[in-house]
Amino acid sequence: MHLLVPLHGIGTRHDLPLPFSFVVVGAALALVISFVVLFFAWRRPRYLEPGGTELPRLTRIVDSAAFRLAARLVVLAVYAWAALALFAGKDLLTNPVFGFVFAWMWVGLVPLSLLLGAFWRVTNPLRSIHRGLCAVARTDPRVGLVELPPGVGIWPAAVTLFAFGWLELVQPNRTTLSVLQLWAVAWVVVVVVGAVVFGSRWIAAADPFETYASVVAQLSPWHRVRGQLRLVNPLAGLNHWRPPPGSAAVVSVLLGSTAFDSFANTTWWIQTVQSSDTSSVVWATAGLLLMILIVLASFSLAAAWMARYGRDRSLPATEYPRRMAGSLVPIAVGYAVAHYTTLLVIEGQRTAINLSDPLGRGWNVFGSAGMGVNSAIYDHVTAIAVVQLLAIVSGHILGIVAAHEKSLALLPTRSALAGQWPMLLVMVCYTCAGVILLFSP
Amino acid sequence: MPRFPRPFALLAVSTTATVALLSGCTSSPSVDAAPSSSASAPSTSASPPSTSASASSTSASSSPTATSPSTSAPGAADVVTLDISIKDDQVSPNGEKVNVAKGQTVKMTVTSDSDDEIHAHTGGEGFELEVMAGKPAVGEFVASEAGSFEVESHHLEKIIVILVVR
Repeated sequence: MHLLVPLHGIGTRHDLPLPFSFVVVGAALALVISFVVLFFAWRRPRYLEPGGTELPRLTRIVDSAAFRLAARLVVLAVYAWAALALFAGKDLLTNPVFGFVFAWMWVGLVPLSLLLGAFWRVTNPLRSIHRGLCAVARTDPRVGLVELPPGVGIWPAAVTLFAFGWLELVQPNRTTLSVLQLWAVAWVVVVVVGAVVFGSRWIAAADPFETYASVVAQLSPWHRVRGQLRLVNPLAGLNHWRPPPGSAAVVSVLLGSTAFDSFANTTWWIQTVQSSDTSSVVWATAGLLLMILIVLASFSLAAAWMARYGRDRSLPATEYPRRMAGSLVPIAVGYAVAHYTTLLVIEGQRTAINLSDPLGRGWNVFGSAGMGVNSAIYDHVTAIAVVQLLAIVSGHILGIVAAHEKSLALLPTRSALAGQWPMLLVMVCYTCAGVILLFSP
Repeated sequence: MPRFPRPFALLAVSTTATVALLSGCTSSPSVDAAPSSSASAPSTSASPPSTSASASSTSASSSPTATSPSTSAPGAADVVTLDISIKDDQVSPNGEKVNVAKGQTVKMTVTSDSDDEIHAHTGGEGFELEVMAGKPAVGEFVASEAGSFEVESHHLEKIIVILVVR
């Protein structure tokens, strides 16, 4: 029997609903910890300096031309192999490219960026392609035809990340080659042509994968200070991040699309969409957009509230969401871990197996073709639930602590409490919504 | 003002608290999940009307033909029966969640007013049932792996039920 084409994404199996007791515990913890932080946490900023241990030797190694070239070539080769499967492989679910895009590239980016820091910026295959083009044309990759205005920040990436979310959650027939080929070509054209026009800064501004990786890497223990790599407390590293314009939108897209993925599995949503005469594409597009806008609006309003008490009276309220964007990163990462860990484990394995035979010709290039997917993880029902809850709750704790730290820098000590309670409330709502969505009503 | 512990101490404390709280809680769900206990969808009870209250009692389905999953016969506790009807491009049941104990057989009876294919994801290679218009089709498979699985109408691209296998 051939593999069934699933309606929703590549995973044919979803996690079990979180037991209700876990939901109660998660929500209670979120609430209690938030109040503890609000009332008892430190009253002076403590992470103004990133601190940590300087790593000059490691910096020399990772910055060496040979190391960079080797890392770029390895990543480029992996992507070229996936491209072979995408453009020359068979249109079957055994084609590794589906798992490569939705599990390895998208979900795998999170643990890799947490462990390795800002590696993606260095090894991004589209940067390598752009650099190659510039070498042929004998131009400086940093210089384009037009200068990108500094206010653009990473706004383009908010749009391209939404596009990827749409592909992942809405696009009909997303697990067919023709659809994925079209999106892959669009991705390369938008990023590489944009880089030719605006210079390589465009890649950091618009490539959804690089932006996602860079945002998550802010939570990694590796941080660069004045060019030198340091091993730092991730909270100090996150606090040291100066989010570019558009960061609040980017993080809202990440959080909102993960939330919508769960929301779309609720019985209420499935029944509403399936009983309606309106196409499910319209429903899902509207739902995805609405979920992102809810996150963006609630977060921006809570951040803008802080402007009433701000130390710097000349800083407009519209600047606050960007300054606070870092505190949403742990929450978005917690959501992603809770939702996609089993998918990464299962589909990640399947992809590794299928990559031995990219063209579906019975090859066994890496010796993995005969291996089976080890799905033993699904037997540990309670362990999965505990990991999910811990991810959401830890993300919440790091999020409110990061928000508290930033508030202390932005607000005078006496009004720190009055200024940050809406932000805390919003974060408690995100966390409760996160565990309730995992309960999958 | 007490000095606040370092954030990672806080994280460690709350992690421990979570695990401690949960280890107290997990005893109750594991009772529900016990195989062949009456807590899951099919009941060993011989009276089908009372068993149909389980699993999809929250159903918003309006079709009277949509019987909730129930045991087909007394003594068939290891079988969950799904009566599926497809009419005017609407599926019934309509996207409901159905609890199944791991190892139970899921038996589907499908009537449809158009040709269709029913796909059930099972964690393995999945299960397919061809349905001809107007002819009731019957198929069954064993829910051998834990997880949430969609049973869907392939032609309508609609989810009929989500099997919650524990």
